[in-house]
Amino acid sequence: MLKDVAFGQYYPVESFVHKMDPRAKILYLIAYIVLIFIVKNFYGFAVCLALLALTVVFARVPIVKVLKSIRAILFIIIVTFLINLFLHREEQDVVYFSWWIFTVTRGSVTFATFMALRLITLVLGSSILTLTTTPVALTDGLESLLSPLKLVKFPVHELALIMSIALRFIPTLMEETERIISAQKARGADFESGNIFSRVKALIPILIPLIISAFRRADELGDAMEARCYTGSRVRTKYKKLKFSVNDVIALFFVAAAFAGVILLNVYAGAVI
Amino acid sequence: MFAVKLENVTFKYEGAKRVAVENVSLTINEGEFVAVIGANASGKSTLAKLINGLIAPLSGKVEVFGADTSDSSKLFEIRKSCGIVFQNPDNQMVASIVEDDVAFGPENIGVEREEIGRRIDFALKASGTEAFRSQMASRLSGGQKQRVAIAGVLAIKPKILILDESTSMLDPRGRREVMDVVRSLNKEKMTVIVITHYMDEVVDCDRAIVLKSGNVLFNGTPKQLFQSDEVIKKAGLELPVPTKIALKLKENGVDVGLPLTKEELEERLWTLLQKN
Repeated sequence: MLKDVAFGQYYPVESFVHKMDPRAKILYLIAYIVLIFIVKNFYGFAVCLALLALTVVFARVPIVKVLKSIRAILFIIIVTFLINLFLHREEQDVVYFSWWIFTVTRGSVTFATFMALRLITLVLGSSILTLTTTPVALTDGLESLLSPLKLVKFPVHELALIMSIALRFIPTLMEETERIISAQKARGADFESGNIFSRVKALIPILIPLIISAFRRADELGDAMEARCYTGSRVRTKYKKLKFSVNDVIALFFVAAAFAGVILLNVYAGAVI
Repeated sequence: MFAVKLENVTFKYEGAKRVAVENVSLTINEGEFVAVIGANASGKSTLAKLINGLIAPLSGKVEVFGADTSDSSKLFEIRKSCGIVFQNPDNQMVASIVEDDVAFGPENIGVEREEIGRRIDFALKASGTEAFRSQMASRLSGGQKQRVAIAGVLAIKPKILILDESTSMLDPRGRREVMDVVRSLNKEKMTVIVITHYMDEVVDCDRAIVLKSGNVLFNGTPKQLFQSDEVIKKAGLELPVPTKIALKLKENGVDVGLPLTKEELEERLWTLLQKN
């Protein structure tokens, strides 16, 4: 069912990582991304991967689920790898292979591998966040983290509400799409044959009713929200409060250790790029 | 003081050819259970929006506990005292999780955190949805979703509850679930206005108001309504099945009076049989 796919990323188990505060997880992910970008040698990557492996173990998420996230950007990884491999140039380099504008050198092999590793570790880290945090918790976390921006009149609350309404309507609109597809099939619509252009064209009779109904829903939702006293954030209170826990402090220790490790390795183990 | 008072109210939607509600005057008392019925485009949903202040009358006056809905400074108070449950349960939920959705109303009116918790408990209990508290709203059935929507309105602690065709998208079981909740709320002194086109939802009401093309065609007890063939025919309504059976029996010389429910009909037939 389409309905179940919508929230398919989240892997519901009880674990150390699942119980962490979403704000801590978002902040640590940002720290981890910074880490990936300051790494200067492969030893540093080993530290990043160790941190990643530790998180996966503590999150009790099957490793296959985490690795699956690479599939989505596999194409990008391969293309960037090839571009870097053939086109990257460094001064005073050992040339392995050269043809027309393409050259493979020792430097380009290292560089291409490095960049591919960077992309892979980036995606793996981010996927752990979405696997262990519900979309609702993520929205709450983001709202809380962005709340200082209220001082410069940035509509943080509205943004969070938009995100949570969007999440709320994913299953509803999925269901609706299925219904429209069935209705159009019953009228003899064909979605499976023809070339790519006629298939894309066949989507129009699905998209138009879907968009019209989405607008109608938005209209009704607006009325319902107003009827429930929604006026913006003027006097609004919040029911759910996020709380940092011991888990977040322990995790902070590991993130800090990884940071220290990478910086030390950068200084003492030399740079490959 | 009346809970709701309409005085010569007329309303026309922008771009519409004819008025949706025309010169309507009526009052609803506190604690009353009123059904507003009518065919499609009779203006009954417009009435709900007028009472809640979602739309302001073109002419005339709408008052909720004495507060004029045209006065925008009073709208917040009016909406606090008068909640609406709409037709489509999917289109009135803001959050994915039941508990978060019920919290939306109290959050809007600035209730303290602990009090919101208490209100969620109360609202879920009153609508019989405690079991779904931490579930995804999208996984519930239509009747369950609609009861969650009622909980979302109850958490604001309104004095008036309006159901704007809230049962029209539900199966018979879902309809019964919702109506049972509404009836028990009315017993707890809640003013209830049920807007519907099902005659059997009118049966238990204190009063029935029939609308036709934006005009009040009838305003009286359900019993009186069911006796006036003319009104029913004119408004394009249909009698509940037990009443229909009784009328057919009467035509054939068996007088069982005018029962409105299945139980009533059973009772009368039973006494009639015992007499003979």
